[in-house]
Parts: sequence; C-alpha cells; structure tokens
Amino acid sequence: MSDSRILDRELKKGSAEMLIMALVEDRARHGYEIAKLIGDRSEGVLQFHTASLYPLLYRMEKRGWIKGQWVEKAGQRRRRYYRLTAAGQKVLAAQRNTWQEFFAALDRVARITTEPGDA
Amino acid sequence: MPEGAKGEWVRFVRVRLAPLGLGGTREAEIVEELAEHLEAAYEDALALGRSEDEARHEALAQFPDWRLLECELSRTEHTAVTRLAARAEGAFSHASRNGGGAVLEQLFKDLGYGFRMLRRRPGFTAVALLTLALGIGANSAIFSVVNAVLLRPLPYPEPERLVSVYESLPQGGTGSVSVPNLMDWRAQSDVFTGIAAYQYGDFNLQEQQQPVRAVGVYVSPNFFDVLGATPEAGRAFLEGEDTDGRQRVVVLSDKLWRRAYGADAGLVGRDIPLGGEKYTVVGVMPPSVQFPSPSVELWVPLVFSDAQRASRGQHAFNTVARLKPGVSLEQAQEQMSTIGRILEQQYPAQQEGRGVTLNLVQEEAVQYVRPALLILLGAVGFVLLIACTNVANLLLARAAARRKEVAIRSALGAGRWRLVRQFLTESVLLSFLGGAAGLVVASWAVRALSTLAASYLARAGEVSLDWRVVAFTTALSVITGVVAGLAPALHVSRADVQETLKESGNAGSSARGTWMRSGLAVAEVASALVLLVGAGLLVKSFVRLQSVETGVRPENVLTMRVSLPAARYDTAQKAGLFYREVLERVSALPGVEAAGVINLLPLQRYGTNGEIQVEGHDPLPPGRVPLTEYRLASAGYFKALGIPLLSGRLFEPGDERDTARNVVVSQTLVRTFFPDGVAVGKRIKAGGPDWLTVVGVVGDVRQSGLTQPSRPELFFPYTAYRGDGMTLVVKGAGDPADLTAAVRKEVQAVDPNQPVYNVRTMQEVIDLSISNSRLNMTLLSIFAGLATLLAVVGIYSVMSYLVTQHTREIGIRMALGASPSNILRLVIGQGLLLTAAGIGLGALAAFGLTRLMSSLLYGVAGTDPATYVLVSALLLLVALAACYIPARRATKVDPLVALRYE
Repeated sequence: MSDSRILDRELKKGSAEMLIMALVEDRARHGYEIAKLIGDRSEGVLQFHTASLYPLLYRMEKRGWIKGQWVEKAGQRRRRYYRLTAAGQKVLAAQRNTWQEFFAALDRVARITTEPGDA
Repeated sequence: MPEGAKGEWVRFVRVRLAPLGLGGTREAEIVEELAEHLEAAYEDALALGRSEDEARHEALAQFPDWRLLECELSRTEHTAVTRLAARAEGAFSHASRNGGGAVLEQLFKDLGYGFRMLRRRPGFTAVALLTLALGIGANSAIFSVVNAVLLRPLPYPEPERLVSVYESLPQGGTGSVSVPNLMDWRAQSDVFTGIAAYQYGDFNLQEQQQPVRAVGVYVSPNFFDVLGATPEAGRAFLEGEDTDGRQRVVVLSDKLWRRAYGADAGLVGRDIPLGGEKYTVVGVMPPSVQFPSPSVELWVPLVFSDAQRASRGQHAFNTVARLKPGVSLEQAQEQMSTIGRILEQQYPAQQEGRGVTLNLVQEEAVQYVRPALLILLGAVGFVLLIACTNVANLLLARAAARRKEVAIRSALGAGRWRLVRQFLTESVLLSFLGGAAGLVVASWAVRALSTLAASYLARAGEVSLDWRVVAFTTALSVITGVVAGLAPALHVSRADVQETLKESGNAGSSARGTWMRSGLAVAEVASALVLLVGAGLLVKSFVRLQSVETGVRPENVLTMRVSLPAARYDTAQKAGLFYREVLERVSALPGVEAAGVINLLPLQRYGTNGEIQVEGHDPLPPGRVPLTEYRLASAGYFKALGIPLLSGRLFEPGDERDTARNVVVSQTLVRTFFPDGVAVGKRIKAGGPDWLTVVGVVGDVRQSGLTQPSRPELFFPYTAYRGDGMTLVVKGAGDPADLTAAVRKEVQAVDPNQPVYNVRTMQEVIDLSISNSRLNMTLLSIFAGLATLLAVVGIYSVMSYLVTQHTREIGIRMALGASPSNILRLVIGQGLLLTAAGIGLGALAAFGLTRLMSSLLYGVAGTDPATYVLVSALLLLVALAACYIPARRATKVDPLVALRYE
C-alpha cells in the first residue's frame, strides 16, 4: 500500500515541475490558472493541492527555471504571472526527453500505449 | 470567517501563515498571492451560480491542509537555520514515537542541532565562549589553589590524626617546647602513638664543586614513624640514632637526591660531606614527603645536648604527634591541658602561665591563607555569576531572534518542555565548550599563580589541575549552562504563538523580556560593584601598607644570608672572627658605603624574643612583661640600613669582646621600660644572669611585618652568641645588585666552603613581606576588572536591545519634535537608571560582604566611604560610555523609517 503511494508521490513530484513549465512555456500564467489548467487538461487525474503548488512555484523560481512577476491589467486585480526562463527551457527540454525515454521503455516492457505503435 | 472581499482573504491567509514568521515583503507577497488564489476560486464558484456560502466553501477546499502548506513553505522559504529547527522537530516526533532508548538518540540529535546552531552564529558563539571561558577558567584556577591548599589531604596516612603540640604562652599564642617538657609529655600522655620533635637547621653541601646551602631539619628518630612516611630507598631513622656517636646519618629528600646526586641509586649507604662532617645516607624520601615545609631538603637526627635536657626554660623545639586511633583532638587536648597544669604546679618558676595547645597539622598549614582563599573563591564566584548573566542575556537576545523557529516548532507539535529542553541542551553545550576553554585558561592561570604564590602558600607547588578540578569545572559548566539557559528557555517557551504573530516583525519585545534583561543588567552591575569595592579596599590597604614607615632606608642596600656550620664554627668566637673578616673585606670594596651583619632582618615572620628586667625595678611576674625582640648585630648594620642613632653610641670594637656586656636598644624599648625616657647607662637583664649596660638607643623598625607594630628590640653585639646564621647588609653607592658577585667573592675568600644565599636587595625584602597583600590585591583587582568588563558588556547589550526595540517610540518622539539631544538623554537616562539600581544593590551587598575580608585589610574599614564613592563613580562612568553608543544610534533613527518599522 505505502509502496504504491510513494511511487505515486515521486511520479507527481517529478512530473509536476515539467507540467508547470510546459504550461508557462508559451505564455505567462498565474497560480490559480496553472492549478486549474492542470486539473482541467488532465481531466481531474492530476490534481495539485494548492499546498504543494505554490511552494513548488517558489522553489522553481529560486532555481531560476521560472520567473514570477506582479502584473496589473486594466480592470483586474494585481496578479503574479509566471513565465519560463531560458534556463527553464533547457530543463524542460531535458525533462521531456527523459519522460519520452521513460514512456518508450515502459511501453516496450508493459505495452501501455493504447494506439498501435509503429515499431 | 473570510468574506468575499479580498481584504478578508488576505487577513485569513496572513493569520494562517504567521507562525512561519517569514516577515517583511516576502510574507506580504505570499499572502497576497494565496489570497488572490482563494478570491479567484471564490469568484469562479459564484460565476457558476453557487451561493456565497457554497462559493466560500469551494474556495476554502483549495487549501485543505494548511499544516502541509506551512511545512512546504517553510522548506522553501526559510533559511538553513530554521530548516534545521524543523528537521530537529521532525527528529523529535520520530523519537517520541519510538520511546525508550529514543531519549538518548534525541539528546544526540539535540546536541548535533546545538552544534550546528553554534557554528552558524560564530560571533555570538565566540562572545559567549570567551565570557564563559573567562568566568569558568577563573573559577577553576582559584579552585585548583583551594583544592591543593585547603582540600587535598596531606600526603600522609590518615593526616587528620597528625597534630602539632605547642606550649601555650602566658602572653597568648603558642610557642616551642623545651626538652624536659617534651619528655614529660611523652611520659605522661597516652593519647598519641608518638610525639616527634624537630628543629630547622642550615647545612652546607658541595654541589659541582660549589658550596651550596641546604635546608635541613633535625628530627627525633620517631619523626617518620609519626608522619607515616616510608622512604623510596633505604630506611628511615632508627631508635637510638639520636645519641652521640650514632647521629651522623642523613635521610635525603627526593629533590636533593636528584639535584645533587643525579638520583644515584647506589647513594644509600655511602658517606656525604655535610657541614664539614661525614654523614651516611641511610634513606631517600619520596617527593610527597615535605615535612615540615616544602623547602626541606634533608633530615638528620636531633640530638639533645645535656644543657637542653636540663633546661625547662629553653623552648627551642617544634613537635608533630600522631593521635592514637579513636582519640579525638578534643580528648587529646583535654589530657594535654591536664598535664600542662601538673607541670605548671611542679615547676612554677619556668612554667607559670604556660599550658599545652594542640593544632591539627592540616589546619595549621592553611590557617593564614584560608580567609584570603575563600574571599578569592567568592570573588571568582561573582565573576562567574556575571558571566552567566551575560550569557543569559545573549541567549535571551538569541531566543528573541529565534522566535520564528520556536513558533514553527510549536506549530509542528513541540511541547513547552520539549522546547525548554532543546534550549537547555544548547546552553549546557555552550557552557561545556566554555568550560573546556576555561580549563585551558585555568591551566595558564595556575602556572602563573603557583609562581606568584610560591612564597605565600604552603603548598603552592602542589597546585595543579587534577581530577577534582576537572570535576569541579564540569559541575560548574553544567550549573552555568542551566542557570544561563533557564531564563531564556522559559521565557521563549512561554511565549504565546498568537502573541508572536501580532508582534509580527518586532519579535521578542514583550514587556517580560525587557524586565528580565533589565533585571539581569542590574544584577551584573551589583556583582561588579561588590568586586570593585573589595578590590578597591585591598588597593587602598596596599597603598597604606606601602606608606608604612619601615624604619629603614632600603635604597641601594643588598642583603645575603650566611650560615656557618657548627662543626667548623662551634663557638661564638670562631664565628665572630669569620664575620669580622668578611665585614672588613666587604667594607673595603669600592662602591660600598657601609656593611654590617644582623641575625634577623626586619620584616620577618619569625623572631627570637624574651623578657627583660630593668635594674631597680621589681621584676614583673612572667607573662606580664611585654616581649622584647633579641637580635645580634654589628654597628655597620645600623649604618647600612640608615637606622638612626637617637642617643648614646653604636657598638665599638671593644664591645665585641666576649666579656663585654654592652647592648643597644630601640626607641620602643625605651618608651616601654623607661618612663623617664633615659636608658643610656642603665642596666637590664635579658634572659641571662648578667647585667647588661645600655650604650645606645636606635630608631624602631618593623620586626615582623608592616602590619605589625614595632616591638621593643634589644641588640647584642654579633660576637655575643653563636647564631645559626647571619645576614650581611651592604649599602652600596649605586645599584646594589652590582655588588653581589664581589661580596660573594669576599665571603669565599674567607672560607671557600661557605655558600651565600637568599641574595636580595632590601627593597625586595620589603616587597616580599607584603607579597601576600600584593597577591590578594592583584588577583581581586583582576577579577574586579573582569567583572566590570563583563558587566559593561551586559549594560551595552541591554541598552542596544532597548533602543532597537523602541525604535518606533523614538521615531514618534522625533516626529513630534524631540531633538537628538532629548533622545540621547532619554536613552542614557534609562541606562543610568539601571546602573544606579545595580550600584545601590551592590553597595548594600558589599557592605555586608566586605566584613568578611577585614582580616585582609590594613588601615581601612570595610565600609570606607571614599572607596564606595570612588568605585561607584567609576562604574557609573563606564556604564555611561556603554550607554552612549546605543544612545547615539537612537538619535540617528529616521522617524519615517521608524514609523514604518512594523
């Protein structure tokens, strides 16, 4: 029981950083938006506790992968928007690569993809 | 409960995050961002048609676990220090679940945590360690002296059974015993296993072809049995070796055996030359055997002469006896008193007013130094108290800064006791490190002390850091750690988390903290004042002592001791010839203005004295006559030391014939015994049957120390008796030390086997006589200085703290128009108020405590107002300086910044 939970946590931890970076790759987003997008796009499978999201954002910001900035748009409240930095871009590319290799390996061993593979 | 308005969400989040104590803009940003999140969720829910309550509920569901958020945020946001705290707390929760052996594991974790905390604050750690090292080191050093001198038993079996037996004197006090009395004591008492007699003597040895003098003791054959001392080589004395013909045997001290004979194992059984005779070495005593004093180098049998055996009035011997097992000192004293009374009745002429007094040897060795040592121990105790207070203050300041950490830890479930324990572990760790550093300080101090105190403490050579000192230091460290850490630990752990939150950035500013710190500062000032008063009184005593009229003019005067061996110089005549020739030769040396001899210099701890009777006056009953000091001197002695001739004349060559009966007396003797003030030409008797004619009156000198008044003094010509030894007194035209070699050469020209020793200038002799006072004064002054320094640091830190804490108040005052000088006055005024309170308390304490040191004072009362006023003013002045720096900082407060401070 606890083994599977640990795996779960590790997976999420490893993937969460990549998810966030992917979401802010093209445009800056604020925390609430990021949380919602992750929940919506994964159809509820990936759900962050806000308790984890913000500390994670701060940590990534400290590492220099993303950059947060207060933005005041007309007619809106001040919000903090995060965007991907150049350093973050490299990390994201590397992580995507790793995950791709990981998925490929999983697929070769356990055949987890639903679509027929071309190999 | 939060409402829709964003401000409410902000407040809601802030309260929840406050325990993290992030502070400042960072906290504000996080609070705003999270509130924004809640607000957005709330609005989205409203947009979906939820009711306000439902919307609020959905928004709150975004943060189901604030504890988790706190944890995560603290990991992300906090500095390494607070992360450590969180980690330690984690360790604790883990340990408490395990129970049992977890206590030790937890202690190690706490220690590890404590170490890391200390390493991360090198400034704090250095100041605290230095303070503790000085405080504990001073205590360990003084304790090691107390240990060696007062506590460590004498190195003989059952030393508590060793007693000295004296004849008690009609004038009070104790004196040596005569042979017939000793024999009667031995015969009539049954409380001792034995009574041994001894008498000091000087011996000349040959060392590397040079004559040297050795301190020897004549002892009765049972001496070592009584002590319980066993030789490390050979044997002790045998019964019967105190009879003529068998007495040429010697037992060497380990010191002499090593120094003069290279620890030659084959020495026992061989003959060595000693004072012109051959003595057979029969044994060597181990280094611990140093009776009756550490200076003793050899022991030879004591042979009573027929004259000594016959004379009950000739009191010349010291004794040491061993109580029989089970016999108490009181029982022995009772029996000996009875014997004393019987002897008094049997021999009223010699024994009237005389009894018997027993003292424990162990007590006797230390009775003169005990008060000084205890006072010094008390003084260093005060120093440690101040050091403790300072460290407590530092810890309080640290604790205030660590409230964030404490808040996190209590948020994470640490109980109060748990926090107290962590803080105490840290402060005890600190004081242990301080104690270790203190031992290093102490080992230096002990080395310095044993040199300084060598002339003063009977057992100074034994002063060392033994296991007792280490145990003492360890215990002291634990106590110090607990005392210094308890107040801060309790203070912080009591702090209300809510309180901490409301205070926001201004951590640790509760009124209680302020009171505690102020109280500590007051205590420090009070303790410092007590020590300053003590030191001040000793300094004043010392100054008084130095201005005491010695009666001599020590400038350019050199002194050195010569002891003539009885074997070669067995008569007063032979000795007299030797001294006369030496004096003639020395007087002829260039640069010598006057030269003389005296058997005892002024300012010696011992003397030879007796009673005199004036012709024409009825003799007073024995014991009612003031004692007169007897001396043997040459005329040159008075000239060399500048002792004025007041009337009559000094000795002339004709007085030196052994048939002459002329004496010189001191002014005090004239005042005491000749009411009309005229003594020259009068006749007196002094211990002997012959009438002596007073030919001259000279000025008084202090015979037995600057604190002791001059006694009546009677000078015989140096040729009248054969003394044990004489001191040459040489007045030079320039630096007397330059004369040493020349004078020594002249002595050895007269007798090449004759060593000279105790070579000192007269000024050194005077300084030596007050070296105890100097040592006490120096040590207490050092401690008082240390105490003052620590107290000033304490005041400074409290005032700095108060200024920081009242920045806002100061800002408001300045905004309302207070000038910098007003602020300066305000802050300094507060500092001085604390100082004044401390001085007041300290003065009261000093008033009570200095009474204990009256025996160390000379010419000044323990309540001397001038001293109190002076040291108070001094303390006030340095406190003023300590307040000035923070006060200056306060005047630099920018009102705008101060108002925004929170």
